[in-house]
This record gives sequence, C-alpha cells and structure tokens, in this order.
Amino acid sequence: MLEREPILVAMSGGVDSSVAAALLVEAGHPIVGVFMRGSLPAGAPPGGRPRGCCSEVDAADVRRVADRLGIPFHVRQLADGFDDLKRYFAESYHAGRTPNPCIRCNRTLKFGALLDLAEALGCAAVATGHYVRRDVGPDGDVTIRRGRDDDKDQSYVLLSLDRDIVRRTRFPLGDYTKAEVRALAKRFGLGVADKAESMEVCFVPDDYRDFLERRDPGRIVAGRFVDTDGNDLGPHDGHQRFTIGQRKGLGRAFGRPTYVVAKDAATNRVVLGDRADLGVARVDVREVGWISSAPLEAGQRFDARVQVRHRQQPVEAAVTVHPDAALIVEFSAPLLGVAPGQGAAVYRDDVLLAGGWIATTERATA
Amino acid sequence: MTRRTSVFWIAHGVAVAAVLVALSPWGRDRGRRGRVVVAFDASASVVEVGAGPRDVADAFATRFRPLDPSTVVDGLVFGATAAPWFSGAAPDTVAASMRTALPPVDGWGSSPADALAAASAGGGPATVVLVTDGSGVDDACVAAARGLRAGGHVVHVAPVHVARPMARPFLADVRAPLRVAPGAPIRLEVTVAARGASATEAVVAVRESGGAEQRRRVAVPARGAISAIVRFDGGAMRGVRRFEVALDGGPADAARRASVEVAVGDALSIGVLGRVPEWAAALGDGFAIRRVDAADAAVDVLVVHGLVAGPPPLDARGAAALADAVRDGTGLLAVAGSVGFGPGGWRESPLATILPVRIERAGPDADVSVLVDRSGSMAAADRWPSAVRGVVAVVAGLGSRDRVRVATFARDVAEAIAWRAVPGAAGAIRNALGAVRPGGPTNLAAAVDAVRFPPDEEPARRRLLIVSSDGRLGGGPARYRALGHALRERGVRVGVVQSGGDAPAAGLRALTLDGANGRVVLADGDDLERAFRAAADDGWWIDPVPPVRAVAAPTPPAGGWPQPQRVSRTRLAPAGRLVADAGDAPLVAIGRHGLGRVAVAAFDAGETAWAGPEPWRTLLPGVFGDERPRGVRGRVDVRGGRAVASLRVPEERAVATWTLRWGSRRIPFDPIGPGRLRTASFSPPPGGATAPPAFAEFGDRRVRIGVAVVHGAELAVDDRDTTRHARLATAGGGRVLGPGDTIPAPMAPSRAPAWPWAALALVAFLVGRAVKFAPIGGR
Repeated sequence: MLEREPILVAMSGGVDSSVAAALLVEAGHPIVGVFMRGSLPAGAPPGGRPRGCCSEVDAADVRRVADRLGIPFHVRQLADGFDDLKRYFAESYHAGRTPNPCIRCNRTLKFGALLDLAEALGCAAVATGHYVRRDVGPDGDVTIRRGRDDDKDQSYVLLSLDRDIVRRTRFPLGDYTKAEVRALAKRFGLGVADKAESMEVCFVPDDYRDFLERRDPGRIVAGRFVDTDGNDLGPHDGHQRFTIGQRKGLGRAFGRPTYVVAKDAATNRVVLGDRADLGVARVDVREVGWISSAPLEAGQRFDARVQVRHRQQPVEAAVTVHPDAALIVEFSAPLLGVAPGQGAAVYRDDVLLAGGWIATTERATA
Repeated sequence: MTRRTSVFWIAHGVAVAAVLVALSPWGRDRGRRGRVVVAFDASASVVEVGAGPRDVADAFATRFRPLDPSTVVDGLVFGATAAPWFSGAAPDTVAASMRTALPPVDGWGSSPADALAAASAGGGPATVVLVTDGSGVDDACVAAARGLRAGGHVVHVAPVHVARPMARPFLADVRAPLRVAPGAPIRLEVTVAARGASATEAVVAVRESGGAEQRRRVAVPARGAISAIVRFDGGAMRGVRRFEVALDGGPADAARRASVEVAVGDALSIGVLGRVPEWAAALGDGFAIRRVDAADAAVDVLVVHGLVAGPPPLDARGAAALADAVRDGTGLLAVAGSVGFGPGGWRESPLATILPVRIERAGPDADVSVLVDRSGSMAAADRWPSAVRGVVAVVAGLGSRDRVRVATFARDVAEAIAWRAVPGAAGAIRNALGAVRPGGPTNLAAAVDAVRFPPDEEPARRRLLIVSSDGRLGGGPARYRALGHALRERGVRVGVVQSGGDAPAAGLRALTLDGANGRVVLADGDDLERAFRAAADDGWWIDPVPPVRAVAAPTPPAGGWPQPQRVSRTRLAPAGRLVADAGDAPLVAIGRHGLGRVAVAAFDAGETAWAGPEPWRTLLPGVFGDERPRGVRGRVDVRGGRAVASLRVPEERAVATWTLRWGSRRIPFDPIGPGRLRTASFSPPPGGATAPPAFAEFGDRRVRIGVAVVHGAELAVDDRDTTRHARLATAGGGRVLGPGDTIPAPMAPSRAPAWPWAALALVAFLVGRAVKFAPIGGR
C-alpha cells in the first residue's frame, strides 16, 4: 500500500468539495472533513438560516457525505475573525471601493484556520474543491494554474494566498470540468450531484445595501450624481448603493444608457457616463503577493494576462513591478468595470504568478 | 527323465534367468522411463550471429538420430531467460511442434542454468539435452547440472554453433527521429556490436546523401555493443533527408551498412483532450501538441487523459467520434488517470469498446444479495420479466470472483439461488426466477431481516444488498431505519429499486439511511432492468484500496513505472497486446481498431504521478504507426535452397506487424512484441540470394531496413567451446553428442538394487537341488 499523506478537506456541503474529498479517499489518503461555519454562531437555530453558504442544510449535507465516505468530520467556527471581515466589507463600501470579502476571507481566515486545524489533527495538507491546478516542480516549487474547465476556473479567488499556503494545499478538481464533477458525484453516490451552487457572500444573505444599513445606520446618506465633467445630474440615496459599471437601478432615467463610472466617497458624488467612459487603461495593484514565482525585482516589465473579476477571462496587459512592491498594470485594450478594491490576478499563460488589490484606476482617454 | 530331474532343471533355468536379469540394464532401469527435454539456445551469440532457435532446432533434428518413438519430448528456449516452447510432442512430431509460436525470451544473455532449472521442473527424472554453443556455460551452470544429476536427471550437451562470419563488428542499431521540425538538428545514434573474442575498434561513417560525411571511431567490446552519436545541422527545407551509415573497412555487407531517412516537416501532431500543459511538458520537442475538444482527424495521435465519461468531451457522441477517428487511422492513447476505470465511468462508455483492455469493477471482491419482490404488484405487465432481466444484468456486471445470492419475497421469503460464485450464475438465476409467479402481499422487513452474508474473510469482501420493492411495505420507517442501521453495522450497502410510485417510499428511504448507505432508484416496466444496474452501481467505487503490488514491466523507463493504486481492475482484451504489466493486470497495452491503433495506460497512479516522458515519447509514435523500424535487427540466413528470415524488435517498441519484401515476394510475419524474435522460413526466388531484401512493410507503409544475408553458415562444433561442453556434460552425468550420435534413450539410471533377482535365483537354485537330492520318504 502506498503511504499517502493525511489530508484535511474543507467541505462546504456542495458538490465540488464533496467530490474532492471522494477523490482523495479513492486515492487512498486518510481524510478528515471539516465544515467551516462562517457567520452563524455555533448552536444557531436551524430555522434561522436554512439555506445558502455555511447554512444548516450545508452542514447536514457535509455530514451525510462524510458518513457516505466513512471519514471523520469536524465543524469549526470562524466567528472570531468574521467581525474584522464584516468591517472590511462595510468600510470598503463606505470608502467608495468594491470589496471582495471571499478572497479576503481565504487569506485572513479560511486557509489560516484550515492549516492550523490540519496541523492540530496531524494532516500534512489541506484540500479544497477549487477548480485550480497545482503542479510541483522537480525542485519542490509549487505552481498554481488555471483549472482545466476555463469557465469554472477559480484561481482568481486564490490571488491573496501566499506561497506557503499553496505549498500546503491540494486542489483535486483542477483537472475536471463541472459536468465531470457532477458525474463523479453521481457515481460516488454522494447525493449532492445536482445541488445548486452557492454564490453569495455568506454573511450577506440578501442585499448588501440592507446589510450596510443594518450594520451602520445613518452612514448611507443622500449625495449627488455628476457627469464626467463634474456637471450636477441630480440627487442619489448614497454612493454605497452603487457599484462601478452599474447601469440599472440608478433611480432615475437620463434619456440614454448611463453607467456609474466612478464614485467619490469624500464628496458622496457618483460619476455617471457613457459606456466608453467605463474603460480603464491602467490600474495600480497593491498588497501584492507572489504565488507561483519568487518576487520579481523592481523595474521589471513583462507581458501577462490579468483578471480583475471572478469569471472574467484574463486580458492582455503589460505589468511593471513598482519600487514599492506594487504592480502597475497597463491593459492592452481598455477594460470595462474595473473598480478600486477589486482583486487583480496576474497570469503568465495559465500560471497564476501574483495577485493583489486594485488601489487606483486610470480611465482610458478617448 | 524323472519328475525330480525335470523340476531340478526348471528351477535352475529360473535361477539363471534371474541372474541374467539382475545383471542386465533392463533389470537396473526397469520401467523408470524419464522425459526428454530439449533446451534450445536462443542467446545472442547463437541467434544474432548465427541461426535462429528454429534453425538450431531444425539442425538438431537432422543432425542427431531420431529418438525412441515412445519418447515424449518437451522443448524450451533459453537466452537470458528460459521459457517453454512445446511440450508432450512425440519424436516424429517434434518438427511440427517447433512451429508453435516462439515464446518471448530475452536472448542477449545466455543462461543455460535457467534452462536446466526449467527442464527439471516438470517432475520425474528427465533426460536433458542442452543444444547450445556453450558460451553461457559457467560455474553456476555446471553446479546446476551437477544438482540435476544428483536428482536422477541426466544432462547431455549437443554443441552447435555457426561459423563466425559476423565475429567482426557489425551495425546493431541505427536510431533516428521520425520527423524533425525545419531547422531542428538531427541526431543519429549508431550502435556497433561485435561477437568476437576480444575488443576491437570500428569507424562509423555517416554520410548524408549528397552531403557531408561524419566519422566516429568507437571501441567495441568483445561480445558487446557501443553507441556513437552523430549530429547533423537542421535544414530549413521540408522533405526527406537520407543518411547512409556504414562501418569503415571490411566487407560492406548488409550487416555493416544501413540507411535511415528523416522527414523534415511538421512534428508528430498530438491532440490532447484533457491535460494539455502536462503533455506539453512531458513530451517536449518533437511533438506538436494542441488542445482539441473532440476527435480531430487532422492530428496524428489523439490523447485522452483523465477525463470522466458522460459529460463532454467523453459523452456518448464524443466517445463514438473518437472511435470513428481511430477506425479511420488516427492513433489514440487513452490514459485513464486516477478515475477513468473507476468512478470516471469509462467502463460504460463507447470508448471501452475500442480499448485493448477490458474494464472490470474495481475494488475488493463482492458478495451481492438480491431480494426481489414477487408480490402481486409485480404481476403487472412486464414488471416481473424486467426485474428478472435486471437481476441478470446485475450479475453480469459482477466480477468472476464475486458471489451472489438471490431470494424472492412476498408474504414469505424463498431462496431462488443460494450463495454461489458468479460464473454461470446468470443462467441459473434466469431459470429460477423465470418459474416464479408473482402474487401475495409485500413483507420486505422480514425478507431483509433474513438476509445473511457469508462470514468475514481476509481480505474483506464488499457486501451489497439489492432490494426491489413496490414501495408498499409492511412496517413503518422506523422499522426499516433499524434494519438499515443493522445492515450498515454489518458492512452491507443497500441499493433499492422501487417499482412504481412518484417518490421514494419513506420506508425504503429509511432502509438506505436517507441516502447515507445507498439510494432508492425509481423505475417501472422496461426501466427496471436499468434501475437494477444503477442500484448496483451506486457507490461501488468507493472502497478501500487494495495493496499495491510490485510492477513487473518488460521495459521500465528511467525512474520506473508509476505505482498503480489498483483501484482499476482491467484485463487484456483478446486482441490486445501487452507492453507492460503490473502484477496480474495490464499496465500499458496496445491494440487496433480499424486502421488505427489504440494504446491504453491502464494505471491509476493519480493526476501527476508520471513515470517521466520517456514511455510516452516512445509509445506515441508507435500508436501513430508511422514509426521507422529503429533498432530492428533483421537477417536472412541462406543455406542451399532454403532461407530463414528473422526479425527482432527492440525492447522499447510496442508492437509491430511486418511483411518482408524479397524481390517480388512478400513474406508475412506474425505481429511482434518488444524484444521478441520472429523467424520465418521461405524459399528465396532465383537470384535472391545475392540481393538482400531491402524493405519491410509496416501496415501500408514500406520502409527500408537492413537485413543481412549469411550464406552457407554451417552448424559446427566450436572447438573453443568444447571444453565447456565437456565440463557441462560431465557434471550432468551425460556426454557431448557428436554429429550422427543417437540421442540416449530417455531412461534414468536406476539405483535400484539387484538383490531381489539374486535372491530369486538362489531360491530357485536351492529348490531345484532340494527336489533332486532330498530322500524319498515312504519307500
């Protein structure tokens, strides 16, 4: 029998992490499953949040899958760090940025907690159901590559991880498509083959605006719409209610397709413009982490592909390493819907080189 | 003559006869008739330089006088390894027996000791005749012969060898790339070998047609080989570049010159469905790799790697398109990866029909108990026949080492088939269930309660209970949940087929522990058959991984073959050819489908557990079928009016089918595997003896090969080896056979004492004297 490393599998109750666990079981790994509860405190009444990410239903599904696979199963509460995460989420909106709490969570909470738990349980690694490929070179260097299923690739959401985390993490689904994973789930008899995907933020079960109002009453106040030249276009209900690229739900008609192209939190102004005004030519990426490469030296410039949203195809760009460790990304063609606060993933071919957070954007000139 | 005198002489006659018998060979060896085992030397020193084993065997048959007609002859061939060739042949059919397929023998070395061990393994004393040039006779061999002698065997030696026209260096191999891209350098690897008594030197000259010549001086070891690397700059022109390779000096016979052609053009195009970057990294230069989403006839070889059957691109349509592409000539390399033969579902895919392996269920052997509802509800139209077909289908899907038991239930339980092995069970089940007439109420709880599985065994067997029911159960869900828990505690999984209804019955769901220990499949009518299979398939693949067994591959690449997890269970398809195996399972196999070839890597070593690029770099061109016969060693021996052609395929090749063209004649060869030797006898056309055959035809392609012609090689005793022969024969209690010698009778010398015959003689003598000289009483 091959001696295989024990692995802690992060199980959400969905089809992906369930199949990931099953594949590892089939491969002969000793497996421990863990369900990470996010926003719900332990012992929350089942009726309070029956469905959605981290819900009681998910927990029950994980338990059933673990039972089916015959693996030990743990539930861990992430509540301690969640207050910080919620604060980041809210403050980002208040500051006029577009937050991505799930990517933040990966770095600050989820993977850290998983790896701590893995160490405590004697597991050599953590596995997740992300559609990401992980290669290990002859010298032991780990490379993260986009998943085989380009439509389902999830390497973007790992942009905040560092090399030590990816070294200790496994992604069994990287070589499968979603359809294949559902087929595997059926053949494994996991009972979650047709389960719908959960896409929402776990602590925001409804509309994020409602979440902000509940959390910070009184901070969302009326402001003004302006055009790209600064001309006043009328009142709005608070800049937090709008996101860059938003066209619908502006609260009034302007007689032509109008988009949110910028927000100024300091003055509570929302800048509206045409679709062409959405184009971003250059972004400044901060908090950069190098994932599949050692950090490049300042001043180096290289061609890459950059992704700024989940499920967006990476676009061609020239990337320059700034002396203060930031990345200056110049897109080959203006990219629409880019907002400060979003994550930016930098790829060379399909290898995730580095990732960081967009601090500023520079609109393309007409 | 008185009666006394008559008795006296009769008694003395018996005594004299007993004495003669005791002294005669018949008396010593009475009845202890042994086997004759003839071991033919197929080592390199015989086969490569001289004749093939068939030729040696033919010569043996003609050089030595026939054996006793009552003898039974076994034949074996040995080189570095030994293998049985034919067995139980009568002497007059030995020649015919020799035409049976030659077993695979690695002929580069010579190990008569192995041959002796194999010869003595048949039981009973044997007369062993070792037909050899003696080059492999060493101390171990002599010791083995001595051991055989001690065990009652006799070892004779029939020395053969050819005159040594090839003792000087000769070209053993010329390797060249199939194709190179424009501008890419061309690397030729020329191997020079010798079978001389001492090391020598040779000069390899490689000249491109119409171009420059390069020369390399190499030191050739005695009875060894050495390779020289010759590089030519790449050219931008597309086309064919031809290189003439020759050993400088000496006669320019076919064994000392060769030619290779290298196509300058597009590299072998590989279309990968699956892991493109992995293949690009693994194969490196020389291959144009691109991703394809479906069968693409524009590529030379399609690679299917790690895909799951069912969804695209390996859905039914995609798999059928792959099969069509292969049928039309595209090569296919199917790499199962970690799931293909397990939960990846290749077993049910049309892809499985063209693979050179057959996929069996993975995991441990299973005990499957089937409970079939025979209540009144099953009397509805087609339900019962469909259920019977379903049960048979379940059994048909089981492995040969699985066991099955079938019972029916209504109010009570009736066992249709007690626990038995799967082979042959389907017919019995069909007959038993065919006689059942459904009727009565449903009492599933009692039937489940009565299920018993065979006792625990090591290794553990899977236990599966398949239940068919109409869902109208006796008892509530709690009762069935308790039964479900009891089954689970006994390690039994449950698959339920519910005939009728729109939703699973609560009791049946409870029996499966709400899906945690199985599932409920809804079906009716014709769908019942499918539902039975689905119920049996559920969760089948998740089982403890059986122990990994050592990999035994004929050509392990650098770094070794990957270690399979043994989740897969495959066996070689009837038309498949084994390239490498892992224990009792094929690891790499190759076969044909229409005009194309299919290779399959049947291991499940995981997503990145590769053995390195070499096996694939070697295998892919073979799958494409455009492989130059690199390393093929061929020769034709011509003696008198008869020729024997032999071809050897190097170890790294997968399999080849050859036709030798000799003038206007085509001589077909059987398919040949790696490292194997094939020979064929034919009568050369007039004049052919002076013109070496130039081509071998590979499928529909004709390629040039180097084939040597050796004229008049005679089998003769090699003086240098005589000492070895004599030493071996002496150790084995036999003798060295000379031309025209009679093969010794297949009798084993008896150590049986002669005293019974002597005693008989003495008793007879005394009785005679007593009768004649005793006083006559009553006178």
